[in-house]
Amino acid sequence: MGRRSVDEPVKILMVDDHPANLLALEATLEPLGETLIQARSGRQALREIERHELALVLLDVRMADLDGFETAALIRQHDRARETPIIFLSAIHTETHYARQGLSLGAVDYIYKPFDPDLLRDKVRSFVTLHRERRARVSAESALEMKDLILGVLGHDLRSPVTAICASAELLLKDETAPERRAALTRINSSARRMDRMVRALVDYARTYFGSRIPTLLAPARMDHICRRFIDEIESTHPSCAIELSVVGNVEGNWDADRVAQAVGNLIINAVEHASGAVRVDVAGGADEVTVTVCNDGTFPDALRASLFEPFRKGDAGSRGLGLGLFIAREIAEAHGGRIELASAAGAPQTRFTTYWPRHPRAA
Amino acid sequence: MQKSSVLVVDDDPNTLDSVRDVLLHAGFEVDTAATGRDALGKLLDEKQPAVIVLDIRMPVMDGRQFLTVVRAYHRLASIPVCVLTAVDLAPQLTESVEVVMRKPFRPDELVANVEALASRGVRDGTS
Repeated sequence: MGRRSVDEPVKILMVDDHPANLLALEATLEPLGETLIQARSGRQALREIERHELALVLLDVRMADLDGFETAALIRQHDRARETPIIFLSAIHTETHYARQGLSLGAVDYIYKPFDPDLLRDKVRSFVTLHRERRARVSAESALEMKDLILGVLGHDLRSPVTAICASAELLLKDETAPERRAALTRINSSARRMDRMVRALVDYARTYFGSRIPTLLAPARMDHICRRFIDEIESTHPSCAIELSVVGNVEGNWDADRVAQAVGNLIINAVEHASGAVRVDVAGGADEVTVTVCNDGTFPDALRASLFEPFRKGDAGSRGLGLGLFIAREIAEAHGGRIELASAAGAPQTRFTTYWPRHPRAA
Repeated sequence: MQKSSVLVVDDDPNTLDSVRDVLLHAGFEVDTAATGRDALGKLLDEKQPAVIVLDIRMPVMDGRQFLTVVRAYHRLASIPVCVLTAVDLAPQLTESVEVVMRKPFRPDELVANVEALASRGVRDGTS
C-alpha cells in the first residue's frame, strides 16, 4: 500500500488488433494526460491486467484469436479487474444483441466505430474521475487502518512482552546476590527498557505523523521527583554513569509526570551517551514555570544544530537511538505549553539543553 | 497481620504471572483473571479483594467495560483499582480509578501503590 498522490495519472488499457485503431484511440485520449497502455490482442490485454491497476479498459470486439467478449470474460476472472469498467468498441457487430452480450459481461458502455472523438474523450474522462475518487477513498481508509494498526500493535502488543521481561528481571534482582547474575539481569532489564523507549518513540512519532498531538494527563507533581525517579532508573540500568541533580526553588506544578520524565529522560540519555564526565540535571522553579537543564561535557556537533529537532536525524554517529528523542521531547514540551532549547554556544566544550514547563498548562 | 488480597486482571499470561509474582514476593495474597469477564465472575462468587490491578486492553471484556460494571455494583464499587496499561487513557477513565501506572512498570512502585490502596481500604464515595 503505497502513498500515492490522488493527482497521479491513472492507467487506461486500449485493446485492438489493428495498430491504426490503437493510434486513433491514442490520439483521441492523449489530451487527458493519463497513462495509455496498448495491447494488440486479448492475451496481451490479460498480461497487462496482471501488471497494472487500471481505471478503464477500451476493448475492441472483433479480434482474431480471443475476441472482445471472451477477453472481457477472462478479465472478470481476475481479482484485480473484477470491477474495472470496460467499454466495448465495435465497427461490425452493430446489432443490438451484441451490445447486450457486451453489457451482460459487465461492460459499462458499447460504442460504435467510427466514434466521435470528443464524445469518447468525455466518456473516458468521467470514468477516470470516478476511479480517482474511489482511489482517494481507499487510500484514506487504508491510512486510517494503518494508523490503528501501528498505534495498536506497537503501542500495546509489543509493549506487553517488555512489561513481563522487565518485571521478571527486576523481581529476580531483588534476591540475587551473585555479581555476574546481577549483571546479566541488569542487562536484560536495561535492554528491554531501551527497547520499550524506542517502541514508545515510534508510537509517538506515528501519532504526530498522523496529525495528532501527544496526549497528556495533567496532575499535581514535583519536578525534582520526576527527575529523581528517572535518574534512579537510568543509574540502576547503567551502573557506570554519574548524574548530579540539583534543585532550587519551588518546583511543583501540574504536569503529566510520565510524559515529562520521557522528555527529560531523552535529554538525560543523550547526555549520558555523549559524555566523558558527569551529567548535570538542574531543576529550578521560576515565577510561572519550572526549568530543567541537562548538561554534559560533550561538544555539540555544529552540523546538527539546524536539524536538531527533526525526526530520524542523520549524522549523529555516536547515538544508538532512532533519532527521535529530541523530536519527541519537543512535542511533549509543547503539549504542556512549554519549550526546549539548545542553550550552549557553538563549539563550547559542553552541551546544555533547557526545557521550560509552565506550572499550570491548559489541559490538552 | 493478615495479608491483603489482590486480584490481577491481564490477558497477557506472562505479564499476569510477573505481576502476580511481584505481589506475592511483597507478601500479598494474589488471585488472577485473564479477562474482565473472568474477573467479574470471581468478584461476584468469591471473597472480595482489597485491591484490583487492572489491564485495559483485553479481549472478551476490556478494562473499560469491566470498570463500568464494577462501579455500578454497590457491593463492588468501593474496591480501589490500580490500572496498569500500555496505552494512553482518556481522562474520564483515569478519574474513575485510584492509580494509573504505565507499562512497563517498576515493581517497587507497583508494590508501593498497591500497599497504599490496601491500607486505605474502601474508596471515598462512589463515582
